[in-house]
Amino acid sequence: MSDRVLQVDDLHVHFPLEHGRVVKAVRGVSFHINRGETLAIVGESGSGKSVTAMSVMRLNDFLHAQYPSGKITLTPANSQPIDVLNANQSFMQDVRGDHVSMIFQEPMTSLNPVLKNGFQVTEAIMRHQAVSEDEARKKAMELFDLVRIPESKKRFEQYPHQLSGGMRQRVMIAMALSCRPSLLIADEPTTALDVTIQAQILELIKMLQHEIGMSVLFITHDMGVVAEVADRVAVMLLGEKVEEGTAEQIFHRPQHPYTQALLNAVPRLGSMKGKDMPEKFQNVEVRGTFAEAAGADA
Amino acid sequence: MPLDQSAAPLLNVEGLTTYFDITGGILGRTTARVHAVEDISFHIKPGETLAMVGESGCGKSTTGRTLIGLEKATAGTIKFDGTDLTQMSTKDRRAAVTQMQMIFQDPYSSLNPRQTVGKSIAEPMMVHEVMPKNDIKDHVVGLLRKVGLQADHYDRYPHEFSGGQRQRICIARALGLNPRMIIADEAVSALDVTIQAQVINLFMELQEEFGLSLLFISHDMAVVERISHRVAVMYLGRIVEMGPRRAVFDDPQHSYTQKLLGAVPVADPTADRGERKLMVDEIPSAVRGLDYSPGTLTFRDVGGGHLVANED
Repeated sequence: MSDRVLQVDDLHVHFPLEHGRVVKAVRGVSFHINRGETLAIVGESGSGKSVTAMSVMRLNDFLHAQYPSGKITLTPANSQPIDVLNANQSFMQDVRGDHVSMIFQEPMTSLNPVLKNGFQVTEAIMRHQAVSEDEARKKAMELFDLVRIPESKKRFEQYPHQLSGGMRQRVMIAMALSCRPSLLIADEPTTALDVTIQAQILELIKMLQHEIGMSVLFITHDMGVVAEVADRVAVMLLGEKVEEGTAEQIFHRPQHPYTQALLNAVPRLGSMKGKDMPEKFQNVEVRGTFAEAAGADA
Repeated sequence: MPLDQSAAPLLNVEGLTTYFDITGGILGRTTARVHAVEDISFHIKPGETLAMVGESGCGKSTTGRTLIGLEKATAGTIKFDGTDLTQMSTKDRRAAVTQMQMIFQDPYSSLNPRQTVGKSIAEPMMVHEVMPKNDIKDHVVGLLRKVGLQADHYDRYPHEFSGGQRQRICIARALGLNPRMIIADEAVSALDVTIQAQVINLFMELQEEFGLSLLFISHDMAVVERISHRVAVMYLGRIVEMGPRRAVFDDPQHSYTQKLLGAVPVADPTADRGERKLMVDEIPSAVRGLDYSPGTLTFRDVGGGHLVANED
């Protein structure tokens, strides 16, 4: 069994537009994730980080994505390696939710508003495991306790709109973990949450990762969150990976000018210790960034 | 323009309270109230930035909206340059608040998509007739340059700009009436971090140049630490701690402030994070029954104007 859960080589993702024009959203990105490890992909809006993550689950297909070149190999625990880009969609349906699952930024749009919370998790279990509905319900109930939903029995029978944002994200996590996936893709899972709730959810993901022994691909724009969760970090800019390294390397010895500018622009709590007056950010003007490219297009 | 600590406050808010009625039943009677803002008092000096921080639903945005007149205050006084805005007629108030401008979180929804950027910036100046019509265009071009845009952006439409540029346009529009105070409600929250840093720098530059007072409403403690002179921490409609930024951040006294600061992710993988407990507690609801009486919060001064609400 390979010790790499995921291997992505020279991935290119194109989205065709009208008149033969093409958006080259991802251009030659390579990375891997080891078992039990957390890799964070960071970048700003439009850097291609979400498209990269969606490619691993082949969810871009629904947006008519093309993969002109590249290879994605997924090796779940106790299973043969899967050639993701050449698999057919019905096979991918078995893979999604079972070997790889995903949590998104906005839990309300990811949950079905007319189905009870408990049923949505039960349904996921029944889709992938050969169990009766009663058994699936029992397992779903256990998951509600696993993700620390208070009053889990009551919440189980409620609808998503009756939950707060943090609790909805817990239901999403329960659903994502229902089949003990080898890889969890978390696409900005705490961006919509308040900071105290964010801290709770990050802590929960870390703890469950440990319990289940899964790998996590964490997509975020928040360098603070990256520092909290990541073992390794890949920095993306305009569809390309500009730098990769351990979290410690990226934060303490960033090599690429864009990574340096990104880190300079991050407001850090405690950076103003001992100072009475406000202070401007230094060296945050980045040349050749998406911001400038977008401005030039305008 | 350096901040003059001895200057009289530009804005003085006393006992500000904003409730929203929740109606129900076929008669549409009030059945409960949202106590969005509960008896808060604060002041802002000329050239000073007061940051109002807290989590969703704490009442920070309602405070800003009430100050500028988008919500009606249930009780309390808002003294701007010595005159009480809550006692004014709508017409007088409209004239008075030209000196107070607001910038919102989402620059996509706060610009008219069918109006050129130049017209959007010029509109408040025309409405309030602050200068002869012929001078307005030159003034708008000057404002565009001031916020880091170009003169030829005048005839473009909002969709041609990135988020950061749109927020610059909103800032230019707010500056058009030569305000003395700007209320920025999560004005940098929707921006990417490099753009956010540039817009924050712009706020500071404009403050230096024009001596603007800034009420900076934000949930982001790290941004607030950078930009503010003083900080007010809100929780459930009340200010629970307020004081000079350095005092509040270096030595937080209220348990909520400590919790809020402790939850901020530190952008350093080697930082000592200490033991964090796995919590599930959430912010309680601000919806109260009609017979609810809020009670008065008492404060203690721990030195240098650093006020902390007493906890029971």
